[in-house]
Amino acid sequence: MKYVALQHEKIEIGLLSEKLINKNHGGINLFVGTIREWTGDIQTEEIRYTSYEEMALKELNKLATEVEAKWGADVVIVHRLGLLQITDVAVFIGVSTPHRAACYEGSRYIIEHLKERVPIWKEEKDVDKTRWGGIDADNS
Amino acid sequence: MLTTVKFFAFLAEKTNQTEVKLNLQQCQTVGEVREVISSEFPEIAIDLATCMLAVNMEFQHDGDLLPEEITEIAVIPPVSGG
Repeated sequence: MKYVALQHEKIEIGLLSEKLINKNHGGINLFVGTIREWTGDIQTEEIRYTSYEEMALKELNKLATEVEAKWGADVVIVHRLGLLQITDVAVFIGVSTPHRAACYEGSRYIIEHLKERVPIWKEEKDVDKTRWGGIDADNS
Repeated sequence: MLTTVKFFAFLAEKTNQTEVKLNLQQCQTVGEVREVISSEFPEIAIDLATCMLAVNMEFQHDGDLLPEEITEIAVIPPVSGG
């Protein structure tokens, strides 16, 4: 089973978690990424996420399919788009598998690859300026 | 024949366009497409070095040959989801 979505609405952790319940699975791993206010001495006010939605869904589906096949997993990946405030949930990654080790590995695999190849961008609005793509990027 | 080229994130801001039509008839490889975009849009020439190109929504390397049928080419700046 896999469920992949991009949405502007609030991410409902409880509802998405329920999709992962499987009588043959003994473990569900949830990774929930949230908007953080402070990164070192940089203060974030809000973050806008945009995407090449059609391609992002394609890439997210590929990731989910890979993890399903490799670890015998059920997978849920939901990323939020639009303007998010501090503490809002930006991404939900849920992986359920027969045994616990595989759901940790599958979850890590998804978030690391999402950050490499899924066309979603954050426009970070700090208290003093706007930056594209986080503090390591220099696209000003 | 003109090909659709799409810009995203700060590339769309810098070029003031999300989609352009370019003549890529002389291009055989993905790298040659990168060079055409770079000369047509010098304002993003520096950024292009760190961007990935996706042909028909599949990431390609500069050495890859272009397919016969191109629906679109997307210029993908470093992604930052999550």
